[in-house]
Amino acid sequence: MSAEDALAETRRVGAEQLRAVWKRPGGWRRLSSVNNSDVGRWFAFACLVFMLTAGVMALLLRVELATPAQDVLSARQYNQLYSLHGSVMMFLVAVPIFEAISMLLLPAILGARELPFPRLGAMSFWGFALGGLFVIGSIFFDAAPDAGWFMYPPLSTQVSGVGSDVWLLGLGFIEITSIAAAVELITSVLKVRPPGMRLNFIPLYAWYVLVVGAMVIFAFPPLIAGSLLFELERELDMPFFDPTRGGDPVLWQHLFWIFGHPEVYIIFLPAIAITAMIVPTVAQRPIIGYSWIVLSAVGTGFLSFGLWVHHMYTTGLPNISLGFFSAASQAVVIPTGVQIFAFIATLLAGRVTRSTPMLFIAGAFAIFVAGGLTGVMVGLAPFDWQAHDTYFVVAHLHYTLFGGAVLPIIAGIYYFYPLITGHMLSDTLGRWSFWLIFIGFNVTFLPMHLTGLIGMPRRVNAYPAEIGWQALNLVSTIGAFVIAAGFAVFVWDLFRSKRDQPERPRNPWNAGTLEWAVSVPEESWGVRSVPEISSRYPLWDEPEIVGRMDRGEFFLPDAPTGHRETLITSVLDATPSHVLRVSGDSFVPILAAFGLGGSFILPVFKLYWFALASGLVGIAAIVWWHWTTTAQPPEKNARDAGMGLTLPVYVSGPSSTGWWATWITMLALLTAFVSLVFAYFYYWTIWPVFPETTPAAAPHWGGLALLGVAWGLTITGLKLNQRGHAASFRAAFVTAFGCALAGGALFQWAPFAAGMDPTVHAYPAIVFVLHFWITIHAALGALMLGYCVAKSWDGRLTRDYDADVWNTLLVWHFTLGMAFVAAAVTGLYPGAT
Amino acid sequence: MFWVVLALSIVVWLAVIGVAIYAMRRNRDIASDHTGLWLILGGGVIIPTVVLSVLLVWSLGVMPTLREPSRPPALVVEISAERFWWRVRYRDANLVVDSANELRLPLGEPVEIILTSPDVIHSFWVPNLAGKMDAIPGRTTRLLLEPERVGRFRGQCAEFCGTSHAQMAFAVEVMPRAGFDRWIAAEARPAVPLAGAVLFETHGCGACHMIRGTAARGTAGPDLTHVGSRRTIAAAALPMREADLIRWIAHTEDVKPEVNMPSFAMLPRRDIEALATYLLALK
Amino acid sequence: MAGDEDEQELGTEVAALLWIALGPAIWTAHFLGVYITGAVLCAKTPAVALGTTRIVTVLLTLAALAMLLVLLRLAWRRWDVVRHGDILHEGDSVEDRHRFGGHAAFLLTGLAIIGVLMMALPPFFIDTCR
Repeated sequence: MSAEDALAETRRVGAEQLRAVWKRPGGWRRLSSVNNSDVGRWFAFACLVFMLTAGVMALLLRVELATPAQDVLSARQYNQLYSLHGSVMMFLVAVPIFEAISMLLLPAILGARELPFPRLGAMSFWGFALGGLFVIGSIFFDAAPDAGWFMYPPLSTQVSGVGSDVWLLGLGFIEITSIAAAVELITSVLKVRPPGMRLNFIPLYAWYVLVVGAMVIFAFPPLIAGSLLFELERELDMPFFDPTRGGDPVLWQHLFWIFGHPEVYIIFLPAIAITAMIVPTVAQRPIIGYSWIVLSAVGTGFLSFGLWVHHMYTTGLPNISLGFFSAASQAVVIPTGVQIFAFIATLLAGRVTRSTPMLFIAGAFAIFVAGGLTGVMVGLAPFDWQAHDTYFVVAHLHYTLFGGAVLPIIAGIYYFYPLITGHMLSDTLGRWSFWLIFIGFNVTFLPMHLTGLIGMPRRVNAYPAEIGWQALNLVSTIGAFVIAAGFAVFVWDLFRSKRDQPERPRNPWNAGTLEWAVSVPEESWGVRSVPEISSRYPLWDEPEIVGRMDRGEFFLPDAPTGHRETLITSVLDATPSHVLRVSGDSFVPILAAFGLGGSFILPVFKLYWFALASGLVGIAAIVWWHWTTTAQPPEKNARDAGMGLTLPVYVSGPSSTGWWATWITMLALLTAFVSLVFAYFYYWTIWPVFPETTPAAAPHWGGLALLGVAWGLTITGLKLNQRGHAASFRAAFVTAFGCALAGGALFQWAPFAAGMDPTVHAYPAIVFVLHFWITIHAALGALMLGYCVAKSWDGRLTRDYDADVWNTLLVWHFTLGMAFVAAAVTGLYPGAT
Repeated sequence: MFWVVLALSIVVWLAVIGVAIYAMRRNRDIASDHTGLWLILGGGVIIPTVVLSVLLVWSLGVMPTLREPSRPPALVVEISAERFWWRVRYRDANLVVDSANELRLPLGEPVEIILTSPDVIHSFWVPNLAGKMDAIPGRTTRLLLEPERVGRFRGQCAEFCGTSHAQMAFAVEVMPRAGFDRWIAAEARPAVPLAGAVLFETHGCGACHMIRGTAARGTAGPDLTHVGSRRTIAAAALPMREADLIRWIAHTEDVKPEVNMPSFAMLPRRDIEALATYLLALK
Repeated sequence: MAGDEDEQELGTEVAALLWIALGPAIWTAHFLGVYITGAVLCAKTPAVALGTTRIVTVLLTLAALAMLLVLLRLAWRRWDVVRHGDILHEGDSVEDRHRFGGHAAFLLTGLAIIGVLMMALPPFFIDTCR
């Protein structure tokens, strides 16, 4: 056998191994797939279905408003429908579509096999699907949320029925799954890049994923904290927003909009990210101003957190506060403008090929710039006092969302469709659908600016005939149906049979980025081998690269141990650091999602014990999947990764992806905690006299001390284990386990011991919540300690294989930090004022 | 201010879209990376920074004038926004007058509106007079009105407050000072004694409504002492006509779902008509 | 298996990433500083709130600008555009990546300076806590 034959044989064997390892389960078992391309497709499909549902709701709303006193819907139905339309579009379409698209494309864009935590991704999809169906389904039982998508109390807490619980618990669960998805995506961009993809080569899409992921980590927790307070008020009568007992409805508005405004950019930036992938391809040249776009992404990410009060200009806050937020609202326009001009500059410098994606991008520019300009107007407080809560704002937000999300996403679907399905969409139908949507959109929403300025408030189901709003409303309704027709064409194009089409060309748009190098015909391994790159547009600059990838000349061309693997690299210069074994297909993520989902959904029906049981099932499922698949000691901690490089397959601590994910998750939990502390001090600013009761000193400081001991023992345990003292390590962790539970319980009991009843006043209530937050973290820390001990006993956590211990320690760092702050605030602060 | 901002916006939109279309149509690559970067710096940074700074300074300058009275307000009106109507109390230098669902203002004088709410968040808005201001439970907010022309305007709740939010409006009338003084003096007087008061009392209307000068002393609902002089019924849900009054008394739930006032369809038709006649006569 | 070496490398990596975003982080701190000062003083001592807010704003703004200017200078050096004449940052070397980081930090710091200056305006146009 010649050397050449031997090489061919090795490659054939490698391909066979990969094919076997990445084989998709067949039949109904397909549902157990956790592969990013399956889950990503389901995710995107679910978003599309939810979007069409919410679109139909919008049509019903427009029919009701077509004439002054239509009676198609009752006021109750109208209110439920508009509340759902907003909530579904925001929480079930706009935000998750980013996660769906990223899950689908990010590994390809990064030349990777898989995302680092496939089961987490699958769980987050199933949780999303369950929560989404639950929230939408409520409309059929006359039980949908009916207080608007921002759910202002006291209307939502004291007047609304079960719809408020549906909103809070259903969407609260989805927020948590969104954070899970963000953790996975951030870790991917930081650690799962192909060798050679330095910071200055990262595709712009991935930069945006990083920024948006970070925004999710900081923006969603305030809403989760708010939802916690909200649900405690509804279920346990703790008066956080009830002014008769010291609460304040405006606190909810702060917490909601601290989430709500960044959320607008969480929706907008991914669409810009898609644009940033399409524009260079269309112009057939590298983007101009790469660093400028990175600047805009990061800058917008920061500035967007300084805008929230501009949704509260009419709540009677002092002018000075409004002034600050007005200033920030103007400042955020600058990075947005930079992005638009970077695209224009690129188009100017390149040779533009006309295509359907470009048509949608061009339409998006026109609409988004208009929406941005009306945004500048409403950002100015005096103007907003007039326009706030009117159809002017309705028009403004739809201009930004269509221009800044819907149209670029459709452009992205036209652009990436061949990559995802292997077929092209029709240019003719694309043009039809574009012009219908574009014209319909402007017919619907352009008149609304005027409707709002002449006095029509939003959220009304009827209006007097004699004040001149009728013609404008009728025009808007007609436009809405034109948009619907455009979407019908688009959806038809998506799903019509394309069997008679030939297989797509490998790189139909002649793009320069790695995602167009995935294997054709599609293989579930994604790429045959993980490439090493040396430029920003490898497919343009390194003509050999696709062939070499296909021949398996790069990294990980085989799977000798039968594990699914992907390559992990360093953050700055993407030098290979280790090979990560990712978990395979399983039904456990579904069980985990449904178990946890049940613990959110069942309380709506007051089935508290079932909710508890369901939550325990969910937690058990998660523990089980970690126990059986994550951080398993390998047979041999070395793997020939290809290209003459041997890499470890097990790492722990800061080099491991699991440690990074834990870090990011804890950051989100810390943000939620900061939001609760913010609530505490917010009450301090509004109460003329601050209560002086403190939690009972002995359990308060004793509890904190015990948590401190647990933390110290965790550090000691880690060191002991590193030195190979397994028995003492276990002893330290078992003691820490006991201290954690006892400390948490004492700390929780402290306010009650001082007679602080959380239902009497908002003060004991907020103290209760701060303590409760610490207690659940102590419980989480205890669970992880116990897990480490059990795994050590089982012989799978040893001196060399100690990733779980590192992650546990990280959780304890955060837990003790939060406990310390909480104890200081509730124990010391009242006396100091 | 609005027109300036609008004109500016249109100019900016045309400029940006013009450049974009030009960029897409032109198919020779003259522009280099350098030109591109200058375009980003100029169009994306310098021009917006200058324009936005000017706008910001301008709007910051305007803000105090819209919220702080240039001279002490001639009249203070306390308005409590309640699901789904407006409780109105005028406080002049020397008198306190209760009314509901209608606001009369003297021309050209600063009037301070003090807003509260006992139930949920509402927002007080008269589009033709000034911006809006929320009425928030547990808080007191203020709004300054200084009407510049006489006339009748429509005001409404602008923050969603529940099922009948759309029917929570009110009538505003700006009148010259002399007319306003006459009106408020009349509004301050007790109701004219009429026979219908007995029927009003026997059917229990007085439990919720106040008609000063009669036995009806309820405070849960709108003060009806001079209801006949108002232009609308049920917070501007219906015009003030006998037929509509009858409809309102008999079928409140149809006109305003989830309103606190029960439907009185069970009363004899004759009594409802008599009540309507009585209320209309309370000028 | 996590050694000190790993931790050190991690430290450098995280520091390099965060360094790029230091400018906007200073903006955030300045923003929170002036906003919270204004809001709390207006809630607690409305009579003297604006005078104090102005003083605090001036001090915070000067401090923020001083830090941002230092940062701008550092970023400018790291970017090193005059010597290299590189505005595209497309090269495949640690050096290129380093200069790219400098450029991004330079731009973000510039944005933060504009933002800080805008945030400093409101207290000088508004006289009371209404």
